[in-house]
Amino acid sequence: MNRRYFWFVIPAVGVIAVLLFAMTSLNDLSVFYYEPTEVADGVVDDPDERFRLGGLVEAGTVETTEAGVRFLVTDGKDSIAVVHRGAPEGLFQEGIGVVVEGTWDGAAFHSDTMMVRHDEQYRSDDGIYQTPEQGVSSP
Amino acid sequence: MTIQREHDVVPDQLAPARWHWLDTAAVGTLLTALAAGLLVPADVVQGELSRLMYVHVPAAWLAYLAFIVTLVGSVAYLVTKRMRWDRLAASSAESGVFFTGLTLLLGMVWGKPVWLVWWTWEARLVLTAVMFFVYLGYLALRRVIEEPELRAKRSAVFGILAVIQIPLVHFSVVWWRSLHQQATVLRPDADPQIDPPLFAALMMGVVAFMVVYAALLRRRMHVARLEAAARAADDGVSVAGDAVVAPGSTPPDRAPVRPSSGQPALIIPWILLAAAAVIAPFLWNPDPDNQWAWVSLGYIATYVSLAAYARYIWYLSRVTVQQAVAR
Repeated sequence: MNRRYFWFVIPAVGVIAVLLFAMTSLNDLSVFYYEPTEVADGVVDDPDERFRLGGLVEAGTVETTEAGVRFLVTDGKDSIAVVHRGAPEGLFQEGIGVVVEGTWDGAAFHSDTMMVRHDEQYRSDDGIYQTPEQGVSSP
Repeated sequence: MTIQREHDVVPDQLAPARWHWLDTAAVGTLLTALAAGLLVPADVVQGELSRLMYVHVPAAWLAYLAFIVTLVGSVAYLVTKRMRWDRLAASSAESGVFFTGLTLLLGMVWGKPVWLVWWTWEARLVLTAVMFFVYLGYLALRRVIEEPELRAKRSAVFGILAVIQIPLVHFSVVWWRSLHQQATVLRPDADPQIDPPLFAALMMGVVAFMVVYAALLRRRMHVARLEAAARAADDGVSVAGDAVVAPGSTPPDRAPVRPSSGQPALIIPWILLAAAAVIAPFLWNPDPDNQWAWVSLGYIATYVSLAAYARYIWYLSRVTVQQAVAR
């Protein structure tokens, strides 16, 4: 084989590796996380199955616990109680989008991994252009 | 042997491209955009981290634009069979790979402090990475085929088929439930979710990147034209009316002209960048709250990458001219 074909190795390995990793992740590419309504409806009924839950942190529900933090995640229709192990970091706050990873026992979602999901709003912090729904737009 | 059209093989001059007003404009708009990106108000939720958007989003849009120009060049080549269109497609695809890589890198620098992860396997990220590697495959294809017309034809087909990934990447956040946010500006409802001063900074970034792209594209195409001329001379095709050298009469001490897309220089910086991205979390992991550290990292990555890419094109043009002069 001509050694020029070496140049195909990097792209080919790259595409294959990316697709393999994507397939081994928790969910399929089309659904990165489940919403509270789906979880409340029992989309995952195995208490040992790890999956992701995404929604907005409901205002006034954030409580610091010994192991981390607990709060309600809402999609506007249903809310799910999240018990998270680990201190919240970065932009975590009331009203912001989060995606947590863990298990659901039918009453609470036990999470050990948190991602903060920022929305597409870009608003200056001088208050001139702020809109009333700032920070709580739907994910 | 194919006798090529004269405009295909005669370079304007056997020298690196001269300084052009586009080069001045590229430097000027970049500095303006840098100032705007650092001076406009911060986002009320993200804080200073929102400044990373003024380089990440322009890089992503320029990747789209570059690949669309590759599509145009590919179609135009198949219709007209003129090599200049092939050179446009190839040069633009190279820029597109550069901007896609920069988009991924800057996305990671933003993702770590905002999402709290450098990377995750969600639709937008996976499809962007696939787009990066597929167009790297386009560049690989160009290294594998030596015969210019065959290379141009096959690359054109590749360049046309691969463009399907642009809508796939852009609308992935609409079609599938992802971690990546929806589009702020290029939205289906055409209602930008951004305040005027921030929007102005973003647009200055986009304009600056477009001018940089145009300036680099001009220089890259100049190199490609020099290469085509050098290759034609090597094959014994007359250049500017010189006597045709019979094939086989080339002295054996002359190395054959390799297509310069065969220079290893392009790939090495990217292997280093990818390696740096993979080991970065283990070496350097500042607090997500130290926002200016992340903004600085993103801006330094942007300007170092742009300088490295410009340097690579300059290097190519010097090597090509030296090879041509030696002949």
